[in-house]
Amino acid sequence: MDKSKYHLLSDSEAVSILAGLMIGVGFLALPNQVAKDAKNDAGIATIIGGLYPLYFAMLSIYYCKKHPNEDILKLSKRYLGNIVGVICNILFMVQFLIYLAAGANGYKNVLITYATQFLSPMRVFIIVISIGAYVNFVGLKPLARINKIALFLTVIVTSILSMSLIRGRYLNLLPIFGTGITKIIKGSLESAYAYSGMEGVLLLYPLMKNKDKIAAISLKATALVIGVYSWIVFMSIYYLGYKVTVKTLWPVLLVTESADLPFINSFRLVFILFWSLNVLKLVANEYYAVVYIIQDTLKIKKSKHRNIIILGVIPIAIYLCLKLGEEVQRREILNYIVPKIILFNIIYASVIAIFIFINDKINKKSIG
Amino acid sequence: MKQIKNMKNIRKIFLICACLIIYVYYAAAMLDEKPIEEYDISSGFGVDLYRDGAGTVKYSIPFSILVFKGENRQYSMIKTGEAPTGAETRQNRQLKTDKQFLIGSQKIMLFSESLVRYGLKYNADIQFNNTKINDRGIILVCEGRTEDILRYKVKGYASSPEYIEGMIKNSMANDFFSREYTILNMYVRLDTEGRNLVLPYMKISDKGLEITGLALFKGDKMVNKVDVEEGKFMNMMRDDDLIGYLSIQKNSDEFMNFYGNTKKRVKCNKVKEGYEFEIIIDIKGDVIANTLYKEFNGKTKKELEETLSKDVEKKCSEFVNKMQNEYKLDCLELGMYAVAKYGRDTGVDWNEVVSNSVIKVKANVKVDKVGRGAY
Repeated sequence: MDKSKYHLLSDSEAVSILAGLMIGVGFLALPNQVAKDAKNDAGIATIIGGLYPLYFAMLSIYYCKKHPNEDILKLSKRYLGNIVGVICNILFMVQFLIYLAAGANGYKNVLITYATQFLSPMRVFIIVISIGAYVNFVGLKPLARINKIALFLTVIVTSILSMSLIRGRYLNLLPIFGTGITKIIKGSLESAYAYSGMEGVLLLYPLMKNKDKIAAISLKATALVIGVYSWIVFMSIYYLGYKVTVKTLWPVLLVTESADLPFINSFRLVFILFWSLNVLKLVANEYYAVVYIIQDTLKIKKSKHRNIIILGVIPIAIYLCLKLGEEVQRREILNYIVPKIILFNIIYASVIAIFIFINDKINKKSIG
Repeated sequence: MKQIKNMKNIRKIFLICACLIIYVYYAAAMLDEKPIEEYDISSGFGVDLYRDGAGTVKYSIPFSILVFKGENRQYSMIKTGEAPTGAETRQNRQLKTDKQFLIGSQKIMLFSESLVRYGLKYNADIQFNNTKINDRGIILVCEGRTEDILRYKVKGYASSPEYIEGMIKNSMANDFFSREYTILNMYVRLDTEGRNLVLPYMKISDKGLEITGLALFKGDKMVNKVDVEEGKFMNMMRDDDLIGYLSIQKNSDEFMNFYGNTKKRVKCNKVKEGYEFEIIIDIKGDVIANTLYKEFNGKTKKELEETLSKDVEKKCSEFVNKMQNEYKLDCLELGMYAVAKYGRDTGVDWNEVVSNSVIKVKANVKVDKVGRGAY
């Protein structure tokens, strides 16, 4: 009993693992993607884009209230039937697999462009994905702790970037709402990839220690991520203006040059070093979700069999990583896939929520 | 028992083998990588452009390379590459050099006048793409060939770029120069609507290396230049938080010097005929020398502030006039303010609009300190 309690997530760990599912390599490119459409209002578009994780936070609160011990996988099997439920669950798993590959591939692109030109993509993938696998061998609790450290680092590094406040021009942000509402909303859709990952909350809530605090936990995580994201987008536009932001693939790394730290020639490499931990934890998180869903679908209980799954995912993930290619190609592919994934997620999670609602009504009636 | 021990041994051997394989695999990636000592480190480079006999454009890019010999003894040498495009000069330069280059650790980047008159865009692109480049490196324009300036010997310095870096970085201390002549700022200025690039302009005079003015850009092309005195008032209206000297002189015996720093505000209004701009400059500072007023009290202080304000206003208006009629440029980045208030991407040419709009200048000089007393 005690042991199982120990394995559950504490509040702060749950917050950081939820934030950790979202914050990853998309962070570095976010201002570029949003500013393409939303121009100088990219910051506002990012805040609006936050509605997506907020929706999932709300759903998780509702799910947890009605079924505190069953995650979305079990609920979908219960309400959609065994066959449809399992198919949906597998589709749900595939998205984490894609995000896992997209994260590792994006990290490779940043690393090879900015820091280690001599490493071949394969060499980076092997290390990144084996680290993800290794963390999964160890278990959920260490994973949550890594997320906690990574979250602290994110906040620290983002606040160092605020040094660009000295040099930039607030005029770059004006006129507010000048680009028009339609363009802003279009821009906020672009931020969806950066926000994706919050779906994981539907898997994780049964693993939390204080289920009555689910509202606080998921809302805190969402607010934190929206805060960090919109701050970084505001920062980039403020410092670079939207035109330069659109021109560079990773605007955040250009903003790092504004930080004039003593003794450090270029803050950029320090930033990438810190950021590496963030990407590695993202890969590990997505990895955990993938393994968790496969385990549930195949009804595996033994840890020996789970280890086989973990090892089995490695070649699939590396293959997907290689398919995504260099950065421009990767973004094209993701721009094609991500909207569909998001649509699926919203429909899938909403339908189950509706079923829960109906079922609840019927139950109440039969009791009453 | 024995079996378990065997298993453990096998596991150990397996782990060691795996570690070895991984090490070899990753070490193989590093085979072509050389230690930093085996690269040429440049303290700065120039970009020149000329046309050959047939009229085609050619780039000539000289690098000032530091040569380390023995302890603390440094020399510099110039290696130049010539080719029709910027990147190709690298291969041409390599043929003349004994080591590989490490582009990006440079302190300054010099543009020759011929290049900036032709256009900076192609050069900005290659710098933007280079992830190793030091984005906070200083850029400036020079008269004549950049090679001559890089080759110029400054006593006590290993190479002239180190000296020039200091010149630009510290010019802001006394001459109302901006602090922002860096590569990163070049990207921002070239691209943002309603902004224009201004870079320091230097040459070799008979007294050595000297900053003689500021180069004015229209888009990515240099179109004109102003001298330091004129540039002082331009910068005052263009940039924020600058430091420098102002003075009033009646004759060689009666004069007053003032050392202050500026704050600028711009008000922009759309009227029927076009735009109306009001630039308000607040200058706060100290009286450095004063032989103009025998007695320094509240009344004379006010008088002094007023005369200085009027003087600044007059000189600024003179510049505005010249800018609107002669240069026909928006050197004061007023377009940026109009854009921020009335919307972006309207396709307006701000150089033209600003040249035809009403620009008022107002200066408020305030004396903060008067030193330890008058002698």
